[in-house]
Amino acid sequence: MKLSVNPVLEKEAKIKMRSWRAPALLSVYLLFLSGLVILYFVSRNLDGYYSNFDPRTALNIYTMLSFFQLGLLIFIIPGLTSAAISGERERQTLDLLLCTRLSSWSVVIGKLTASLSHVMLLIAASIPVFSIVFLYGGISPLDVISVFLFQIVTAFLVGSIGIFFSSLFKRTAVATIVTYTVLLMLVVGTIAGYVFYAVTRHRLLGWYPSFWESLSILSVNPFIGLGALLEKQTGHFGFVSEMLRRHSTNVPHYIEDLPWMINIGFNIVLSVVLLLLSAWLIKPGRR
Amino acid sequence: MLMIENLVKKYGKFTAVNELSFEIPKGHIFGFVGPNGVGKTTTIKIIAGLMKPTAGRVLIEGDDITKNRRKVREKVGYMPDFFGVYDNLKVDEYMDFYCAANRIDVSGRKKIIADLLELVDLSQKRESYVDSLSRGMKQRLCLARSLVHDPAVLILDEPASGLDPRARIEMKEILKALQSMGKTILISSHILPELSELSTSIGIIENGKMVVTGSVQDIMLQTSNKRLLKIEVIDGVETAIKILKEQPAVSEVIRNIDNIEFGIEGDGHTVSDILTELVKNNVKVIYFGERQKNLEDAFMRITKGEEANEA
Repeated sequence: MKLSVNPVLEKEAKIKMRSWRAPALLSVYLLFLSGLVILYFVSRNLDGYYSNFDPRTALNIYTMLSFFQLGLLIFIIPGLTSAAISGERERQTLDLLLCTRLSSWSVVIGKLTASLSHVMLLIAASIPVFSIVFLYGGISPLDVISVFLFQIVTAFLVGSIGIFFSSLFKRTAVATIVTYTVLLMLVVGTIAGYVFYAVTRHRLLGWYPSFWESLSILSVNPFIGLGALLEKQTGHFGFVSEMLRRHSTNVPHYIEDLPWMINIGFNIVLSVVLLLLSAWLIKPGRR
Repeated sequence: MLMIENLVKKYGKFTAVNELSFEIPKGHIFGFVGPNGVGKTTTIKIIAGLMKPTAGRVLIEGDDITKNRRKVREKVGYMPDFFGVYDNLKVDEYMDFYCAANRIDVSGRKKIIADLLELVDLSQKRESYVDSLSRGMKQRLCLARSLVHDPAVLILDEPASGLDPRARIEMKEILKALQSMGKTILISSHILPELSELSTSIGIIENGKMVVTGSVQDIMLQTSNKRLLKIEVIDGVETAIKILKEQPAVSEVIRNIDNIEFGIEGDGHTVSDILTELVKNNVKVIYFGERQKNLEDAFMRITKGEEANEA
């Protein structure tokens, strides 16, 4: 059976990899990640108490790198996707593309996979940095792979949001601004909104949101999802469990699994909906 | 081959294309002419499957393409009035991408690309980056791109716009070659002399409606039965214009930089009388003769341009 590559993906990969931006982005990305690890070690060495071997080092570096990598990806991906469709429009190549036998769905998927393949390259390039944790033990390769998979699913959502706004708006600048605004709402807005809701509700009604209410609001946040996954892997209950358990009774014992599972489910469902909408938005003959 | 039947396109209350109908037989080149903003590009985009008509049908070889987009993609090659190019793609990669997008098998692509680049005279540029090509070359590459899936109908929106005379002649030769291959071609253009030379038939559109269709000769006959005369004088231009305007047989006196043009209804005697009258009034005539009518005259006579659009 002959493997057929999406022509848009093939073309995008060729164009992206020929540009100076791809190696520059990769270099800066790795510089940030490795810089973070170096800073961590420097700060530990300044403190005489931690200068000897400490098994918690692996967990700390791992947690820090995982969060930092997620943050970097959420910051980088809109730059890769929010020009995907609007850039074709501005270059006046979208009509030419839609006149071919490619469906609008193929165009959208080609654009998304091209951006995600770039993200995968960044994640793959970060493996040596992550491997530092194996020197200390306590984290298995399977744990790292799970975190990478979680980040890829998050990248899928972030990429889909970028593609959606790129299809909706004619101008790349508008699409980029709106994408970053929506992501800010998702990352900061959900937590700020939750805190506001909880405090207001307590003042007005005298009780805090239930466990399930808290879970449904907070679990859409990718950092909460990742936090829950890391808590499960490292066995340390941290801020996620704390937020969910603080004012709730009858908390199920499987609480540490719920936020990241809900987050993954939410990411996949929303991504598919956004991609379908994007394909519909650019469908020729719709106007 | 290509048949447009009662095509209507409305944007809210505004009607961009209004009951437009015309037909292009197989192997013909149809010149689609009209002032800016009268519905040419909208019509072209409907034929190319990029827009949905409000009403009406577009038939290619009997298939209603407004109902079957797959057929449009197979049968129509579209070249818009701009050339969308990607940075960092070479000419043969650009062609290969559009071959892949048209689901052309990898094994057949090499020959198709070579043949098409040969046709548009870009074989020697296949390793060059697309954005390094001249405007004329890009335009030819775009034409080659629109042919990768061997469409029966070619829709070309302003294929010669912005090209220098040499590039325009080259484009004309390619289009003639395509016609000889049996392609049915619709060209929208503002370069009327070339269009009249190239086209089998012409359609003039105004306010979304087809005002007149037929061969160039038919259109000129339909639009006016007046003869056009041109005179050149070395002295007495103002007197000449005054005399011409006083003649009942004369109409539409136009003063150009180095000559005067006017329309006349009448036979040789009427023409002779006018010349006599000019000479008698001491107008120094150095040229007096008939001017060939062309498509531009017919176009100007038929269309009202932006005034009509505003009305």
